[in-house]
Amino acid sequence: MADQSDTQPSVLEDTDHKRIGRLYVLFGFAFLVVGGLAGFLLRLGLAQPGSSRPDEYARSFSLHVTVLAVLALPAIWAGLATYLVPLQIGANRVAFPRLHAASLWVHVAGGGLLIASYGMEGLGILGPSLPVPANLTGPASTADELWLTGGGLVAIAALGLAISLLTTIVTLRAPEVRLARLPLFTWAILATAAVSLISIPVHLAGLTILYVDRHFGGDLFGAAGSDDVWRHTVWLLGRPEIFLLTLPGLGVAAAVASSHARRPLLGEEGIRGALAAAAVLSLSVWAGGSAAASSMFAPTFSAFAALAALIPLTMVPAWAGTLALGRPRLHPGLGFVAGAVAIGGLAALNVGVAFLVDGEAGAWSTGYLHAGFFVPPLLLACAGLWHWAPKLWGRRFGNASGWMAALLLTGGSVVQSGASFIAGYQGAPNRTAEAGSLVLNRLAGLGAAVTLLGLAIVVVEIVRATMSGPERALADDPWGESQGLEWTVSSPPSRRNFETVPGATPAAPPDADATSAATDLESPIEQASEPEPVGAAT
Amino acid sequence: MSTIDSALGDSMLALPAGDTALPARSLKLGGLAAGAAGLMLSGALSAAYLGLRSHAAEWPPKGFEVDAFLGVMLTLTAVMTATFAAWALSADARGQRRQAAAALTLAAFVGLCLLNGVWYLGTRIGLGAASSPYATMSYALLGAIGVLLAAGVVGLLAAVAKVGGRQSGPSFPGVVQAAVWFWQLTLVAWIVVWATLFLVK
Repeated sequence: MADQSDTQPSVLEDTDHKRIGRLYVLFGFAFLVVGGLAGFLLRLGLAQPGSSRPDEYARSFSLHVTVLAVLALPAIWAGLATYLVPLQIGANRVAFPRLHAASLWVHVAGGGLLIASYGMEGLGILGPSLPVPANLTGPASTADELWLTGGGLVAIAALGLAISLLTTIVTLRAPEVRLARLPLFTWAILATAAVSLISIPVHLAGLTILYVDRHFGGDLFGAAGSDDVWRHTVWLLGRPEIFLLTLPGLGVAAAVASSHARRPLLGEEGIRGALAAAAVLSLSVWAGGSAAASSMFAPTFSAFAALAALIPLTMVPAWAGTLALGRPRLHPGLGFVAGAVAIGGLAALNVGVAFLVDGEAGAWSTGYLHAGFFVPPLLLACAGLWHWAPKLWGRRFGNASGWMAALLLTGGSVVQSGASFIAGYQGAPNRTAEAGSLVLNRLAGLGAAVTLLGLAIVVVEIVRATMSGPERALADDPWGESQGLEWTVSSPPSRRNFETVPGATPAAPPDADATSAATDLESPIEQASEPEPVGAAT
Repeated sequence: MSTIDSALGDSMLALPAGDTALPARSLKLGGLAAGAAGLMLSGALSAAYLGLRSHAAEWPPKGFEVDAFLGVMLTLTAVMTATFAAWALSADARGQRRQAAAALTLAAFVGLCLLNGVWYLGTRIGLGAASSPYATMSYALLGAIGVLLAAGVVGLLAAVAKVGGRQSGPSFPGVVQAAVWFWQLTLVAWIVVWATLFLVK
């Protein structure tokens, strides 16, 4: 049972990684609702031609993409990582809890400023995914200043989080938790944090240049070569992020498949290597854009990008094989994973089709953005929530609601992305208020509505769990045969996580006092640097 | 009793340590990671500067002279503070608390001089930040390195407080190393900025 004796600090002062993690998830879904609604309004506009002005459409489009890619999905992964990583590695804390808590609140404040900037007049910057308009001259508007300040704060928060998670995983592991045998979710978070440490400062450099230019009213982005500057500083974050948002989800899928197949994962070592390779290759995708298209290195970059994209697909047989050889339990987590595979497959299929017919147009990229970028990570995050809800909230999420949410999110996204792909093949443009066939636009709007309905179910489950509190007498491992240290502690865990260091050698040493000192968490983590006993905790 | 003696008395100068002690390598890795991020930031800004320079017809603007003397003086100041920081690291490793506190204080003081010099450099450029891409990039580089140096000085001063509050050495390993590693990497970032603005121009 949770330790009730510990007094709980106020929400702003609390540095318990579990509370920070839950808050990250809550704020992540709050941002997701804002971004999802903005996307739905875009779809409504396209379904009724002439109902929105081009500038309003561009602004809503930018809000939709920015909120989902920068604020919502990263926060959901940050929450799951913050909560689960210490539990999975046998630690009782994160390395820098104050930095971690500060990252949460700076992310929320930065996100608030970003969203507020879209509600103000005079926003000239169209978002991180779009080029800076070359005609921006004169001092920045208040909206531009807010957008840049918010974007900078979010980047700094992500950097702080990456440093804390990386340090936690590398240095706070319990003796038996070897780096090479980390649970796959924690391994994926380690890879993500390492790549983030390289790519976020570069993006911050881009924001710094843009801020100095806009604050003082310069015209740097009208100068020769400025396009490349912005493109590269954005891409070194944005292009790897496409993969980094999915990477933790691949770790989630592995845990869900193994736990609910009730057997160890097939090819775990191979998957670990593939996750690391995908993270490293994702950096190479940065250079694969149009700036490098004419360079002699273009084929190399294209090959790297293709490899990075193919690696996640190679894991599907391992998950399927684990389920086929095990005794699968029909858990909603599996439904979410199946949905992510279906949507990811749709994206991969259309990449192939577009390559063959050489006919993708603007609207095609909208379909690809949803099917390849936004929806699979969301579905995999939901799989993680349904799987680890007993740990996060001390409650199991509903089975029926889980299957329903998986079905609606997958079905809605297939319809929405499918309609966009077809519109793209028909030559419909992108990012404009008047785009292509009305029937296809209305179909995509219907898909968006269904997707939002699925999202609403997920949000209701999270709110219900937050409000209701823990179930009575919930087992440490409600799924029965799950693997991992997080399932050896109570649901939800006590404030201290582990009463004794996991993996401390049970064999009696010569001095009984020494045993007590070695296993007491008051002097705990020093042991992580000691020689490790044979075997791994997982 | 000297000033340092009184500062290093039994009074608690630093914030209390966390619930459980961190291993030394956590703090060191954290300091290194933060320093590496700062280095990436200055490297990316430098790359952007060079990218724009390669497209510009005139760079720097006609009639503008780069004050190489000031740049060299600031870099020598950086070398001085780096030496003091290395001394602090060595003293801390040998458990010499007073020497570590003195060296950290000197490193922070000279670091403040460096920060002041960067500020002065910014005022001496004499170009409006919006007047040309060269000016915008110069101010972006100086602004970023200024923020990093300020963070480094704060880190050094926090380490001084930790040493003074008896939260360093073998009982609290890693505190001084983290501050010093971050500072040394920040000074490398300064070298990148200096090379960009004063050597490559």
